[in-house]
Amino acid sequence: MFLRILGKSILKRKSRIAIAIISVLIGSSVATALLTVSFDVSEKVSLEFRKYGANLLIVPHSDTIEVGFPGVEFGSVTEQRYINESDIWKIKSIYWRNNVMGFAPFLYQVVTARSEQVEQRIVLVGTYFNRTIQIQSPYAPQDPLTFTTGVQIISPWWHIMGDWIKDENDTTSCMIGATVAEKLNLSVNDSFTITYNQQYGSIENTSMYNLTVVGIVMTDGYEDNQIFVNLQVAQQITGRPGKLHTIQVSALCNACPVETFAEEIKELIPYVEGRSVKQLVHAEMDILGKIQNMMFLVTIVALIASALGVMTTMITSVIERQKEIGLMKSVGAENKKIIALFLSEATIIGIIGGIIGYLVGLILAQFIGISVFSLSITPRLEVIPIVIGISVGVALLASILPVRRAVRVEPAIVLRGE
Amino acid sequence: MNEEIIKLQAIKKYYDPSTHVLENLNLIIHKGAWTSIMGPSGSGKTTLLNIIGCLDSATAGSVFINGTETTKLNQTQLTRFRRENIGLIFQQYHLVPYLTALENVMLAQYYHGVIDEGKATETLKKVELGHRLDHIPSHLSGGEQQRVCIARALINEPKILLADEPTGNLDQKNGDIVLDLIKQLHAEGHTIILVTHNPEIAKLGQRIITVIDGKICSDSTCKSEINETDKR
Ligand SMILES: Nc1ncnc2c1ncn2[C@@H]1O[C@H](COP(=O)(O)OP(=O)(O)O)[C@@H](O)[C@H]1O
Ligand SMILES: [Mg+2]
Repeated sequence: MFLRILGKSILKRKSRIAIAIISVLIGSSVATALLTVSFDVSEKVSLEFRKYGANLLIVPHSDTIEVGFPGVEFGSVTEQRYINESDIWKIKSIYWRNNVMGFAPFLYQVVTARSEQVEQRIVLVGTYFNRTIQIQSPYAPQDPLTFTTGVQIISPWWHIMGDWIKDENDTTSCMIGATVAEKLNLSVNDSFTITYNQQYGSIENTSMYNLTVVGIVMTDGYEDNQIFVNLQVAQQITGRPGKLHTIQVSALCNACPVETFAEEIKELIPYVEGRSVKQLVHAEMDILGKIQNMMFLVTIVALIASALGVMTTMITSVIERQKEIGLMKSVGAENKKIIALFLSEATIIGIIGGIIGYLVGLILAQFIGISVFSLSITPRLEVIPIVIGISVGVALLASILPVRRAVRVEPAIVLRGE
Repeated sequence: MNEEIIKLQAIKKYYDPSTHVLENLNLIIHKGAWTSIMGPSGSGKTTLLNIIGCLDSATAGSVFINGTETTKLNQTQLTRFRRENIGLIFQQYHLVPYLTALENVMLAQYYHGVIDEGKATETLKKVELGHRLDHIPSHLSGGEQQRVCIARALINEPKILLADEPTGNLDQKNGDIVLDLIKQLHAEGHTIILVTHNPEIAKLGQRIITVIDGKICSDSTCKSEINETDKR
């Protein structure tokens, strides 16, 4: 009987309930985004670097402290700085050269990728996959004159569907991240085009390239959102011959701190600096922390807005239903029955608002993940009970005042009204 | 035989200190009696009925119903007492708009503690609404709604039935159906208090009380107190 009353009274007032649910949704979606981004990014970032073969990142020296992951710029970078590809061999000619297990250069550029109807802005990454380079001036005479290196060496844990790019002179093949493959609806052996607009003062130069997918990369990290080509292809497309942004180095050394490598590399290539992955994780976590703080505030504000929204609708509903409440009391309803009716309604509003809010929040989280961390966010199931709990809590809290009002309704006064 | 079922002693009711709605009112009603209450609008009839029906509390004085001093009960106790002892019939019917006729009757059962759909159906059949069980109030005529209201008042088998102008909103035909039902209930032994403006209807009771300005009057002479015995 209780469920019948509850169900029918809710169905009867669909639009009001909908408003209350939307109020809850505001708070629950923001809370979902906050929790999902927090959980997921912190896990992904640490996973990223744990799996990372590379533990040292070489970047051009800059006065401004660059934060974030290579190629993803936070804040304004006024001057683009590069490393010369011709200096890359020097990394293998330092004192600790035998502990340098491998390295890979990276050049990044956001380009427009188009496949049939779909168009997306995606980061194009030029790198070495598996390449033998010349050591022009070895540290010791007996050292080998060549060194084979690339992402295949430093990131052996990448899951590849299809193949790596094998030929260093291949200018038409590419490897794409799993997310890119999904977005552009591409599989191995499919072709698509990328375009890049370059601005020289007032002259605009658009270059267009056809690429064929040879492999799909699955890492659960940034790589899933990127397109990989041979370094010189990226250099050519973006008009930066001989340039690169960063070098990831895999340095294996139990006896020496990774900072020692950084110091030595800096001696040979003075315009760069090395950052250990530990620092990078730290920087990433720092941003995450800042975003969490901001989102926490937004969440609090959103939850207050939710509570106010629910409270207003509930009070309106109590006023509208005064007669009904008085009637129920006159027919024998004790206060606890009336309270139960309204709190159940609030709980239902909270649960529905929480579930829809979770779904909306996932979209929000995805948006934040991609725009801030260049990461696609994986939905976190453990967020569901938390968010529903928060939503129900907010709805119940917001109902305290309305319910007190309902309890105060006197049967006589209500029934007298003509 | 002439057992007292309702006793009001020196009842006063003020909504605010300047307006005295009921003024020092005494009244005894016997078990099984049918008492009609008449009086001009605003004289305090509904207020009196609400106090007897435990819907409202008196400012001063005591009310005894079935031996219980209801003026000493708290809100929850009043609610419980009411649903055990009193059936209410309103001029405005007051049905829950989104529940069917049957559910409206079952609502009273639910608050009383035991839901018995068979009995609710039976009671609605008694008021000749067996064919309207699943209709919501807005799909029922005024007379039918009032009969649902009566069925709801009866469902928990109260000894006392209070009716505030039950035929006030009904045409002659429907009013007669409702009055026939009330007659039948009186014959079954219910104590009935019925507020009405219609002298013909008032005559159905064994006793007519007139309330003027919060005082009980008999014939044309107003006394602040009346204690006449039943004309039975
Ligand atoms: N809740 C209330 N607050 C203030 N005055 C009220 C209230 N209810 C009734 N009254 C006043 O009490 C008087 C008696 O009302 P009522 O018992 O409804 O009269 P009747 O039913 O005889 O028409 C009226 O003057 C009315 O205005
Ligand atoms: Mg009245």
